[in-house]
Order: sequence, then structure tokens, then C-alpha cells
Amino acid sequence: MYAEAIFAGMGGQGSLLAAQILAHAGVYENRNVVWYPAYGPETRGGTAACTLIISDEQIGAPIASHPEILVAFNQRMLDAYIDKVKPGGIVIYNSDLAAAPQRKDVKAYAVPANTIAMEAGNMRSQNMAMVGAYTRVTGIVDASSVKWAMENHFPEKAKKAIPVNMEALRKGYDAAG
Amino acid sequence: MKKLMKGNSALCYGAIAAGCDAFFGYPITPQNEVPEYMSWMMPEKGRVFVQAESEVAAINMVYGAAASGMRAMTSSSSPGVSLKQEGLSYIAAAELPAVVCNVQRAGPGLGGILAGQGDYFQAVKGGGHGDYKLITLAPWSVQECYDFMALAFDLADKYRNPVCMLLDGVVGQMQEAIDLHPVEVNRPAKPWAADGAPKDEKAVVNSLWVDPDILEDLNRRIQAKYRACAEKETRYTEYCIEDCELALVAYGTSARVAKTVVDNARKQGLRIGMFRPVTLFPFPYARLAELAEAGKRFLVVEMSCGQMAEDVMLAACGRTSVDFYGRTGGFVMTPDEVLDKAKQVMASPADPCQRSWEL
Amino acid sequence: MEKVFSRTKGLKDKEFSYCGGCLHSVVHRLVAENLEEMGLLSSAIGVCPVGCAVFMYDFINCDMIEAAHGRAPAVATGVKRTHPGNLVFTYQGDGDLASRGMAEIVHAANRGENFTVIFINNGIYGMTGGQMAPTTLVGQKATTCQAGRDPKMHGMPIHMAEMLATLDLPCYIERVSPIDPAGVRKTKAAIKKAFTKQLEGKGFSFVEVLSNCPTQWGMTPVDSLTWVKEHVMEVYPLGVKKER
Repeated sequence: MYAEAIFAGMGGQGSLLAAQILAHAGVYENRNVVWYPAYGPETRGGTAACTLIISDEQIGAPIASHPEILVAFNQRMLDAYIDKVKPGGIVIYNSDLAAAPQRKDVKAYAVPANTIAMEAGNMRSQNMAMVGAYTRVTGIVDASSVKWAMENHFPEKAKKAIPVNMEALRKGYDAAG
Repeated sequence: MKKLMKGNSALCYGAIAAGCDAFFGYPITPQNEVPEYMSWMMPEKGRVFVQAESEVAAINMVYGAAASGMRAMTSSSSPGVSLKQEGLSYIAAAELPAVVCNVQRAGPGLGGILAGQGDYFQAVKGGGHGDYKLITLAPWSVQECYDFMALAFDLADKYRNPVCMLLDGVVGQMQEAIDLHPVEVNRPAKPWAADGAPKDEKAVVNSLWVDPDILEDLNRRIQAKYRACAEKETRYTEYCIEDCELALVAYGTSARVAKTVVDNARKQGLRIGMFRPVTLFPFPYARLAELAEAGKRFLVVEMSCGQMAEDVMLAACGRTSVDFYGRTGGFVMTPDEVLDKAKQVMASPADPCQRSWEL
Repeated sequence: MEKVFSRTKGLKDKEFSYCGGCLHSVVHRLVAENLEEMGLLSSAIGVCPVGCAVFMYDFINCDMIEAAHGRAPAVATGVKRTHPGNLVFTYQGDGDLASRGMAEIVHAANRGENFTVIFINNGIYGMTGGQMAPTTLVGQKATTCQAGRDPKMHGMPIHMAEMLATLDLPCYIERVSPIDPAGVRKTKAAIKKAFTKQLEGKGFSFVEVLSNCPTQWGMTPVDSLTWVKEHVMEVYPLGVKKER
């Protein structure tokens, strides 16, 4: 198993943390993991993107140039990365902020992440809705590992928001079914 | 269980495990996690952390701590490491052990803050004034960032010479899961140290020798040390080398890309392998010469305009073709770009006199 | 006959290499005497400058480290932070301390590093051949200001003791000059006070010593001392600038 993903959103949408929680879940399952944030000029205009690679083999290139998976948090980032996705790849997009991609050679999954987050009780939990969808759609890491990662590696200052985020995670998981 | 962390953080854990007594640093992207982590990790262990007023001061603080017998280190990124060159020359000349980490960014000048590998020459050929070298280790993973810190301190003590951990922004910034295994700390006696401990003859740590005989002797001694180091400490790894026609030669992040290129090439039936120097100084000239003799061709891949490529040419010494593919400006080459170049090289005649140097 | 005076054990058995009449020899001896009298010879760590006193490690009988030009306060920071129980001092000239090493001295003082700096101010680059220093007096001739220092071109002399005294953490800053027996006694006492405060953990201490350079000033030793008294002290007044 070798799965390259790009997580891309605007600053504040939590795309980096989303990928990091999944990275921790991968580590929990004793997988090889690379998480690499785009930093510097790449993040111009408040964008936030990162590579997440989870693999059973040793990982080579740490930057996804043609990912199997794109997790796009809004229209701008969907447009920015959609052409890089491998044919047959997976595109998970926030359908509250982006329209379905035109490409027919990828499998697209709509996740109303903002709606889910609002329902769960905190707009900021939209990233965990996307994590839930990734977990369900890709099957790369087990949902229980993701829960473990959230319980153990959520940012210290946001610990009290874990229940809300857990709820968003579950709803995102269901939405991608 | 393994722990997920950045390469920069792993340097800190590695330094702590290796018994680093003192850290002196200055902020510069993309190595900021190092002084940030050390600012709390070192005092927590009762060790020394100072945020210096400049990289010049930081390396001289390292000089002072090392001269008085301590395991000392600093870290920076390219423009900051340029400022340290004065101090590194003095440390090498005074034969002091010390460790300096360079999380390279794209240059020259202020350059950019994205990753680069343009400081190879500066690291392995000397960098400051006079004849000296830095023993240079090039980790390609977060695990190696941790593991090599102990090696760096041990080599520094063993050869009484500064050791450079040469990373790039990607290795520094990426997170991987690592095993924070305990490290055996070997602290040799340092009877030469100006440590203010009672001794028969007072210690003097110095790099000034106005008598040319003494200075030439020092140079000879230092060079002999480097030859011994080359014999004992040269390190490299090979991947799919035995049957390969073309070996990608790369270190750090470029080698990570090269590894993917090899995997992709093998799926297409192309006999491509990878050679990764782990010590950039001492450079694995002898092994590369063997591979050249065996008829392998080399394609050097670097995030620079072709620096290590010159050492590969020295190793090949006209016995095989040496081509180059590089990206600069902060770009990391993609596996596809490199594979295209590799195919182009393999389709051309192996003429040692014809080099394709592509940027 | 009773022996009432002998060479201090703080000096190695080596003849000074300084020019005749140069006060470096005097200040070296005062440092050495203090180290001996305070019982610090086997524990002190000194840091030498680049300049005429570059060979200080040949003379002072304690552990010594040669620093790069101007960097002694950074080197001493590295030493003292890792050896808080040892007496640590630097000995620096005006080019070393007030020009190339301005950042290092100001920041070491500002951090309140618990070591002692002995600053030799003679307003000239002695070793490199009499070039202008940051402390050269207005109108004073040097090989890089042959008509005399012109403030329009070279700025004004820098007052290190007063400047460092504006910082919060230094515990003791005094300017002295050993041009006569009373000055020698005051210089020795100032160095002793600085060392004592350091041993008490009070922080950064700084003794500025107005010195001479008969060779590069082109004067006899006696004339050079008169010149310090009549001209240098006017620009750089002696006294305690800070004490706490």
C-alpha cells in the first residue's frame, strides 16, 4: 500500500491539521508516513497545503507531484490541484465551498463540510469532516486509529473541542458513504 | 511507539540524546524549530541555551564552549551559515569538536526560504579561509536527523574537527515517524581543554601560529587527520546498484526523489539504480570509481546548479559519463522530470567527454 | 637578605614582547597579580583578543583561549555559561572591542553575562601599523587619517564605558589609567573589584583602561603618558560609570 495525498485549503480551514491527524493515525498503525507542509511563497494569499503519504513501503519523494488523493477544502484549491491528480484517483471536496470537478477520470466525493461542522456545533471542525471522509473513502487507516490520533494528538489548546470534532469526523465519514 | 516529528525537531532530540551540553543559535527560516525546541529542551535538562545576537556570535559561543571541553552546537540556514564561516575556520584550526546544522534554503544571496542544496561546496570544500574541511553528514530522513546527531558529536570528538549536518528545507520541515532509541554517549577525555580545571600545564586553545614551520606542521596534521577520516568514516548507501546501467547520484531530498525514480523506472524495465553519499566529506570517491570502472553511468541530481556533480566527475575521472539534472529557486525536482532526463541520458552514447548539464 | 618582592606566579616565565613603555605589560601584570592573590590561577579561563595582546596566552598563567578579532565576548559567553563556577575574563583592545566586536560586547553586556572584560583603549591599531581606531581622538593622526581624525569623515570617538553603562544588567563599569603609581593601584583595584563581583555572581563587569602606544603615536614613553593625562583623559574621563 502506498497512498499519496494533497490536503489543500485556506489558512484557518485546518487542512494541515487534518492531514496531521491522519499522519498520527498512520504512525499508530505502524505505517511509514510523510507529512510535508508547503511553506513560504507557496502559501501566498493565505493558502495552506500539505503532502500526506502513508505507505507500507519505505517512502521516497516526500512531495506529492501526482497524488492519488486530493482533499480540497474550497473551489480555489480544488482548481489549483485537480489536474495533478492521477487518473483513477480520488477527489474529496468540500461541496459547501466548491462545485463538483469536471474531470471524469477521477472518483469525486462531495462532503458538505461546513454544514456538517455547523451541525456538530463548531464551524472550525470542518477539517475533521474531511478527515472522516478520507478515512471512509480510502480505507487506508482504520477509523479507530483516527479516533486515537484525535484523542492523543489534538492541539493542546483545542482539547476541549474534541467531542465536537469527533462528531464532525463521524458525520464526514457517513457523508462519504 | 514511533513519534511523528519534523526533521528540525529530530535534530534537537538527537542532540539531547547525544549529550549536547550547549546550544547557541539565531532565528532563520527554515530552521526555526531548532532554536525554538532547544530554548526549552536544554534548560529542562540543565543544559545551556543562548539566543545569540547573530550567527557570528553563535558560532563563537560554540568555539568558547568547545574550547572549554563541552559538546556544543549551533544551527542555521544558508545565509546564516555564511556568517559562521569565520568561526568554523577558527574551530577547525584550533582542532575543536563542534556540530553545526545547516537546513539549506535556496540561494544565492537572501535567496528564498524554500529548500535548496546550494551550500554543498561551502560545506565540503571548506567554506571559510584556509585549508580545512567540515566532516559533512547528509541525512535524508527524519530518523537520520536523529541518528546522525550522535554520530556527528562522536566524529567531532574523535577527529577534533567541526562536523556539519547538511539538511535541506524539506528534510527539516517534513514530519516522519521516528524511533527515539537511546544513544550511547561516548565522551573522550579532553586534556587539551581550557576548562579551568587544575592541571600540570595550563591549557591554551589557539589558532595563531606565526612560525611557518609550526603552521605547516598543523596543516599537515590536519590533512593527515582528514585522510584517516576518509579511510574510516566514508559512508554511502546503494539501491538497485548491482545490475544498473545508470546510477542516480543524490543526497538528502534529491535522493528521496531519486529513490522514487528508481522504483518507477524498474516498473518500466529500466535498469536504473541510486547511489547516495551519506558523508559528503569524506566523499565516497573510491566506491564511485569502482562503479565507473564497472561501466555504470552517472546522473547526478541536486537542488543546485551542479555542485556534488563535480565530485562525482572527480570520482569518475573520465571513465564514464557524468550527467546532471538540477532544480533551483526552491523547487524540488519531480520523479517524472528526473526519469525523463534519465531516459534521455540512457538513449545517448556513453561519452565521458560529452556532458549534458540541465537546469 | 629578606626577599620583599618577586615576580607574580600569575605570569608565565616568559619575557613580554611588547614595545618599550607600552602599558600592556603593566595591565597584564595587574591581571596576573589579582589572579594569584585571589587564588584563581588554576581555575580562571581567559580569552585573548586579536591585536597587540594576541599573545597574552603566552604570558598569563591560567587556561587561555585565543578568540577571533572582536569575538571574545561571544567566546567568553560560551565558556562562562558552561563553566559558571570558573572566573572568566576577556582582554580586548579598542579595534577588537569597539569596532569589529561591537555587537558581541554590547549584547554580552546587555545579557549581563557574568564575566569580566578588560578593555585597553589606546586610540590606535597598534599591531597592524597605527591605523585609526573607533576611539581615536578628534585631530589625532593615524595612518588611515594622516591629517588627523576628522569627525565629518570618520565620526566621533566612541565612549564604551559610558555607552555600556546605559544598559541595565552590567554590575560594574569603571574607567582607569595606570599612567602613574596611583593609577596603577587604582587599575589593580578595579580589576580586583570586577573579579570579586563576578565571583559573587553579580553579572557583567567592565574595566576600561586608558593606555598608550608610544610606537604608533610616535612619542617617547614618557611623552605618551603625559599625552594620556593631558588629552585622552579629557575626552574619556576616569571614574566609576556604573556600580550595583
